[in-house]
Amino acid sequence: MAPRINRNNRVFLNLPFDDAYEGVLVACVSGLAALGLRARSVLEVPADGEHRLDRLLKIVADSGASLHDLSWVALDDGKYPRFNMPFELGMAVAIARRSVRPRRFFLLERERYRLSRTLSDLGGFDPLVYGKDAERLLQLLHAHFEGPPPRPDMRQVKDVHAAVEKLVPTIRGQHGGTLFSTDAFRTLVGVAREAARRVVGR
Amino acid sequence: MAPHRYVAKGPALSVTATLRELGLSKSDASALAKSVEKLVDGVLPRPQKAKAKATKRYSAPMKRKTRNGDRARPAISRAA
Repeated sequence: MAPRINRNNRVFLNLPFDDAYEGVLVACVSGLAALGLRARSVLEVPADGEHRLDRLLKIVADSGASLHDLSWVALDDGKYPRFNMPFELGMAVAIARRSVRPRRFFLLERERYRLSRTLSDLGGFDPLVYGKDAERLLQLLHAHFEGPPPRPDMRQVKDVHAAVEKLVPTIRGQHGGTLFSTDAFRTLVGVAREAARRVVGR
Repeated sequence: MAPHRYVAKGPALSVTATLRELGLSKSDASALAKSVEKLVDGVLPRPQKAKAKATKRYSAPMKRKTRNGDRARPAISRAA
């Protein structure tokens, strides 16, 4: 069946905010920008901001698709599990299933068959298995996402990613040593968009 | 279930518009877009601006010069 075409270029990213996942964030933001899509994240909402839940809900509802990586589970300070990511996935699934407009959600997974053990409610749903490899992740994004023309080839997607990756130390340095802050995320998205404009010409 | 495909054909936004969508004011988005442009200059060349296509301007056909000044020879005498 041919995929339904819609006009919403926004993709919500639900990724772990951990330095070990910095490469996944960079690959997702630059890969989507190369394809003509725009990454959105809860990072846009300041951690101490008011009405955080409402703003988060609006970002998820405004996005036409969402990408969730639930392969990272850890305890905060070694004591408490963090439920933010599964919570955001639940929101995205509910919105996708109940919305009149077409919406999609995609699951990223490091290992094959792990999802059936960690989230059996989504049994029968195949995740995109990338093995924590940035290049494989870019290939999966290229295969499962399509933005406005011109459609870049894989080499162009990799060129955008390589350009953004070179600037990551600078962005990190400008924003307190992390990419997981509101300002750093905005800069990262801007850099990816500008790189895509130069490589793909859109 | 096999993973599906997401196809979106909405308009591509400029860098500034993309940043505005992330909650920045117009002036802040514009300033960040400029600094981002400078950052990317270090790793990628700027796209060449397409040269404006030369358009031919209309010019009236030149008057044919004749031996006897501006007067063209009458067609009858030429035929004769």
